[in-house]
Amino acid sequence: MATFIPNPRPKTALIVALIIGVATTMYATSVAQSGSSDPEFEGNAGAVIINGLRVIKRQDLHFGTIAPSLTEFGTVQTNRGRNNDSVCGPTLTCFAPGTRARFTVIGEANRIVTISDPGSIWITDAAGNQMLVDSFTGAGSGNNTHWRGWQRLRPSGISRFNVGATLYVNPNQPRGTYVGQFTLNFEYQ
Amino acid sequence: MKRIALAALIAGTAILPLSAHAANVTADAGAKIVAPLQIANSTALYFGTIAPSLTSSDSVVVSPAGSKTCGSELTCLTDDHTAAQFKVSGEADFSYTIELPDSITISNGAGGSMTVDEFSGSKDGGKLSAGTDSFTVGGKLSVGANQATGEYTGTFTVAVNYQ
Repeated sequence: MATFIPNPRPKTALIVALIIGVATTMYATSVAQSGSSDPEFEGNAGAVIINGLRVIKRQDLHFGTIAPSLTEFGTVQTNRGRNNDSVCGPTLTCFAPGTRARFTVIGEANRIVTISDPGSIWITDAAGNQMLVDSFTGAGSGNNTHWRGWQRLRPSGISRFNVGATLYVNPNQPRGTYVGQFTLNFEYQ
Repeated sequence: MKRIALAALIAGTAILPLSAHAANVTADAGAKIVAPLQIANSTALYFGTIAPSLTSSDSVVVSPAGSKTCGSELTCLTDDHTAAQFKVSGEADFSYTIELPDSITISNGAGGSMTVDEFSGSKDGGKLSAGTDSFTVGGKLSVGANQATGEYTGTFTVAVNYQ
């Protein structure tokens, strides 16, 4: 004599039973097709789990305070390798020096990460005046660094990455505070 | 069996979520543009009307403050001399420096010429309170013996730079 106890989750139980049934059928079919007297076989299964890639911004890119020429174009380049070392074009007057953008990349030790930049962006003041920023350049603290190429993360899994760029200042560029954003993409190779 | 093993490896690789492969990061880019430095000349440097000596050279000096010193060998006939006046504009509260020329030549258009040198300014630089400032410039005119008559003119360049 048996006592019937209602299953509180009958749908779940049914699904499990079906999966077991299918697996059993596949196993039997596989053995039958092999034609071997030995019904056993081995299948390799593997997985590589690596640390997820994270990038943290440490410092924004800033070209400093600049007085434009009344009549001529000019450029300001922030140095990707060093802070406070921007190159001010001869037609401009630069006051507070520019700063590079700084990032910390955290991921799998010794893995290669490819990096891509936006190419160019515009920065804008409150009145809608614009200036172009392009020629992004990058440098890191890893063993090998190439912009738009790759960077090998350090054995600690943490590397720094710095970005410089070029700002184009128009003749008699209107005074104001210009801001914009740029996005970098880091990806495991 | 190989087919099963391959399938297992593919499944294993797929365990790594796509978000772990890549990361985007956004940073700000910015710059501050200040007003360009501009300079305008409102009054010329003028030495007045002068009668030269027939035999000796001498000079006339106009100070930045506008006073005139006439050499003893000369006769300064008028009192309409002026120091040059310049107005500077730019970013408020910023400072600037002034560069003056060493010497220039002024001529009468008929072959006569004189030298103006020893330019001096009322200041070496200034601060653009409320975005503007001004200064004056004087100089020394060297008049030759029996200097040819005529109205002599020339130009000199004054440069200002943000400090």
